[in-house]
Amino acid sequence: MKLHALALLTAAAVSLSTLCACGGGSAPKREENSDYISPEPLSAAQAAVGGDFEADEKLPVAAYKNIAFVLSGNTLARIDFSTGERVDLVSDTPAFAVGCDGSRFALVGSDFAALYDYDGKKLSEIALEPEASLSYYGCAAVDGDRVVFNSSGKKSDSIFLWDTKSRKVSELPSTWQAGARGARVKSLSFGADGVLYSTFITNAEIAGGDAASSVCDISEDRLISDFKLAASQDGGRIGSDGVYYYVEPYAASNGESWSYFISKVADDGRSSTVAMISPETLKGPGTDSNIIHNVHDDSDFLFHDSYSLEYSDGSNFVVYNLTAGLLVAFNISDSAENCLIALVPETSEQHWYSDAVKELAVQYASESGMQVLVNAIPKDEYDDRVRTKLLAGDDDFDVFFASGALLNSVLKNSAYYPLDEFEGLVNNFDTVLAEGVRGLMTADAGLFGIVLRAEYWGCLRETQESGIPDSWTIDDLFKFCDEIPAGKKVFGDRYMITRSVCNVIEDMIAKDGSIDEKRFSEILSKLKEYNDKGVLCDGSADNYLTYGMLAFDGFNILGNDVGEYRTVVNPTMSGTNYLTVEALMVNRNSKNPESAAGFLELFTRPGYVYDNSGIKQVIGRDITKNSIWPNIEPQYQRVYEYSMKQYKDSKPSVLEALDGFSAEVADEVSLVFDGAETPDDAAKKLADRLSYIYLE
Amino acid sequence: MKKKSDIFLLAFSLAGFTVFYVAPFLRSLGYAFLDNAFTKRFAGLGNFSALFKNEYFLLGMKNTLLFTAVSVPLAMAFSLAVSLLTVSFAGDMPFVKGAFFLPVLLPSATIVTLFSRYASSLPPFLALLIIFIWKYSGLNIILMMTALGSMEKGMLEAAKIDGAGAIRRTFKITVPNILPVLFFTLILSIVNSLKIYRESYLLYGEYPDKSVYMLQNYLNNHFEKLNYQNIATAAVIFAAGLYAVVGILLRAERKRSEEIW
Amino acid sequence: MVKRVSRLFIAILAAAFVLPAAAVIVASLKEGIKPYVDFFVWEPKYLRALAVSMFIAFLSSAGSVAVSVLAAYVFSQIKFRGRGFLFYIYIIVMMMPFQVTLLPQYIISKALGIYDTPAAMIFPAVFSPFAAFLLTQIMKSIPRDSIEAARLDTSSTLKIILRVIVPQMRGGVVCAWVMMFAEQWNMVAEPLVLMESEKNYPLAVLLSKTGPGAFSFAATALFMLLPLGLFLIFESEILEGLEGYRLK
Repeated sequence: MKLHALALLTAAAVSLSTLCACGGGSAPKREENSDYISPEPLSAAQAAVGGDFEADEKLPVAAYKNIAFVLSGNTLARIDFSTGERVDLVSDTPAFAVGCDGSRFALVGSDFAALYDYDGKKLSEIALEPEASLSYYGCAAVDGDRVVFNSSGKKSDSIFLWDTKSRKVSELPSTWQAGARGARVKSLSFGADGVLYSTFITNAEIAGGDAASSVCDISEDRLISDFKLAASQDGGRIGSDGVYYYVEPYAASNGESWSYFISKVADDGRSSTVAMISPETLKGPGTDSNIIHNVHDDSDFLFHDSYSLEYSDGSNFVVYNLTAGLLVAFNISDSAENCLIALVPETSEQHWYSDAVKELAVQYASESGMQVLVNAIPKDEYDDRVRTKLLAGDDDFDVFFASGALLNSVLKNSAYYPLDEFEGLVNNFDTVLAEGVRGLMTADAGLFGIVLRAEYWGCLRETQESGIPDSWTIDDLFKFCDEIPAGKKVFGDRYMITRSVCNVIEDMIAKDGSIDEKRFSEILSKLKEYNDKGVLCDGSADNYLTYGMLAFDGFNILGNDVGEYRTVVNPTMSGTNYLTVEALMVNRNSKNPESAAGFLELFTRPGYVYDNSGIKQVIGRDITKNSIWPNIEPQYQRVYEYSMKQYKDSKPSVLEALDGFSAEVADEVSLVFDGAETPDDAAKKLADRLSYIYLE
Repeated sequence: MKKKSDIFLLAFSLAGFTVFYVAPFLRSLGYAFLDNAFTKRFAGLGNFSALFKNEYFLLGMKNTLLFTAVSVPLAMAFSLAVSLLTVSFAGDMPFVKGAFFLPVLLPSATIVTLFSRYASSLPPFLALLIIFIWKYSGLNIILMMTALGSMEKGMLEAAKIDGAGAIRRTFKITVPNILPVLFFTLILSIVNSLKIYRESYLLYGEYPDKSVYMLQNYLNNHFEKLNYQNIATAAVIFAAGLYAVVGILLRAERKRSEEIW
Repeated sequence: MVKRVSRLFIAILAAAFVLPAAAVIVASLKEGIKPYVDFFVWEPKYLRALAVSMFIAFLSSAGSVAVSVLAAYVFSQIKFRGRGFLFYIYIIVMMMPFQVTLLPQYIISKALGIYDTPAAMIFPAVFSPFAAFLLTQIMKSIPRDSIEAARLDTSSTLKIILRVIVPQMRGGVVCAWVMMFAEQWNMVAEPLVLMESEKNYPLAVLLSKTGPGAFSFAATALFMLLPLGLFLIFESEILEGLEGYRLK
């Protein structure tokens, strides 16, 4: 018995210490920000690729950490980035490709291959048969005693292995190009344990065909993995850690400059950015700006240089600027402290979220010197991973995206860093965004984030003058039905009323914490009454309202027919609209909440919000302040003005996170209208169905 | 003589067990006394009283207990019957043990894909019951069969000669002899009955029919809702319950084995 | 007569138990042998996942048996204060639903730096109380005499455990090993939390993400055949080993 008591005491002590460590924190502490460290990667060094290079033509280059080998003209030179010196090692060589590892390099030509040590001393040479012959386009890689290179001798590239020890050249089985038949090899590299990585372009005839990559184990003669790449991920290579790295250019949202990310993508589609590089680093001093002037129409446009990644091991990189003829070597420190990490879901269909974040990251970096890196998690895992990280109190991310059920639970538990103390952001909410957006984005603990998207479904429009007010409640609807003229009904069909019923349910849960079955049943009964009279949905009377559209998504209504009459939204229960919200929020445990808030502030800035008429804009902006407002036709202006009013007194919807719920409501309403179910039963059914939201 | 220092052989298991099970468990228990995992305000026993009034928590506990109370005896009886029959009459049939054991090795996802067609026409509780018996009896059967097989045949022969009937022989001689195995498989079956959540989740989703809404559904859903404090509180209550139940079982086992030996 | 009926009954029952697994194999063969070829040649990530599963399952089961045999020795042979209570704790923790311990294990694996590595799955498995419980119960029934006798020959406890005790409970050890193996083999929820790179996922996880079809049936068939094969190999061992002693 004593032992039991002792154990209980110990357990209590451990638990209590957890409590004390947590402290009674209500408002999270805000740390003073330290000096920002420049986002420049450490020890970036540049070297001209030299020789006579032509812009955008790729000279054969191989690199390893701080050393690069360049084949220009017929001369092979070795460049040491740490000292800046360039030494010609081999001259008059008819080679087409060069590869290297940490201590050797190889030259491969149409009929020969040779292996050298770093000082240019030839270690081995072999003559190549015609079928193994390298054509004008080639890649090579070295790993100890082995050299691999590709050959275009046949219709598609094959990869050949030259084992210098056994002095044998053999062709690697084409199974390793699984899924990439008819492919052209773009890069070859070795990873740890001698695993061969290769990237291809499939369907070589068509420029810009699908990219693909594969990982093979030469010694064991098997394919380890392969995955597809998008065309935008071109120019990279698989680093020695087995992940595909590439250079990703992003234009700053003001359209005035490019910045670059070193990004990586794994074979499951998980992508993230590992570093931001400024144009100066990648372009070198004294180069012209990126602006090209088009003499034909006298316009300027931005272009970015072409890049190819020549070496990567996860922290050391060598980038080849094909346009400027420059090689840049750098390494990235574990600069987690001075950069922001953003988590977004990744879908293969669209990269909306990560694109939006990356664009603004460029601008933020130029203003604050702080990098913003993006981790894109596959959509089906995103919600669960973020939940785990939030509950575990992880501090290794600063900004995260939330929608649907995740957003609801984050709001309910205040699992975010309230943004009220950041004046810049708050100011934008009050002056730039529409009235009411701030209220929409405020929950128990304060301002919870910025809106990326807010949607309202179920809006309607008049078919004729009806006298329906701009916003109305269910009681207003009943009064309207009482006074409706003969031969008229309110809604075109039953489905149109679904939104109203959902509003009732949502309002009850939000305000009272449960569904008042009695009141709900009364409302359903009354609706049925009016419907039976033929003034609501059913019947042959002339309907006042039909399906409409709201401009919540931005300019997408332009060009559509919005009719000459007003837009009207469904009746609410007590005046509150419920919108489906997607937001970017700051992690409560972030190490840099102020910087994170500063980053989010960019999304709400006038410059970004007003002039961006593309798809990626922030919802909630006050459209009347946009410079193109005067040019919008009156019928659309009407709709925009109306839609902005809907932000006032609006809240994030809880029910919309439930798949298929609105369809269930529609079904129940239909049953009640048909008389197949009593309003009491319908109310009970829906209340039961939802009870776990507020009762569980 | 036994070396006193031998006790340190336990150190490996105990160290790892503490680090990976006990400490994590205790740490999360702290949350039972906080209002939630983010604002972390002290809530005293508020969570406990809330949980005891929460119909879903109570439903989950009730269903879990009910399922265990029903499924374990049924599974044990089934396993015992099959073992007895096999050992007595079919001991030489090949692959029988492997056949019974096979379902233990199948992944839940496969089981569900195969069963889902039939499961929709059965009441959920029954469907899960069937899946449970099918999946986990194999273990019990193996253990019981080997215990039965190693029983001293002499005792049964003697009883037969004395004129005892088959049923009497079973209950008065066989069962008491394999009582240790029975206790052992009882504990195993109880542990396994809690695992039926995996199949329930795959078949019926997060919010199944009320008859099969179990404690793990409650725990899983509150994880989704980020209500870690409720998970911690439920864990405390559950642990307290186990403390009592297992204590009773252990004491019963000790008494019984003293009786026999 | 009773014998015949019983045999028939057992045979039918056994067939019923095997039926679903057989159905999987049949379904996988609908498109011939192609799905199997795919698994080994054209869909390398499944083969890699299989390798990960084997790595985790083998190390987990072997490690847990090794650690738990020692623990079982102490629990079953040495009387110390709090023995009953400690064992009691082992049992209670063993019965806890995984949702309770999974999040803290995530935190610990991050703290120890083993997050997103197979080690994050292996360590909790090695110290799982289940194996300790099972082996303790089995070891309790080893006759004291043989242990006492062994003690006269040598004073090294480890030698006694390895040379005298374990051989006598070989069947139980194998049983524990197989059960730990099977449990690790089928885990889906835990790897999703403790790991994040697809290259580290065990096959169970990949299978849960793959849609139905001949390929997934083939992969499932291969997935379950491996532990079954192991079991069949050791079936005779278990029989031999468990004969002649009782589980106490």
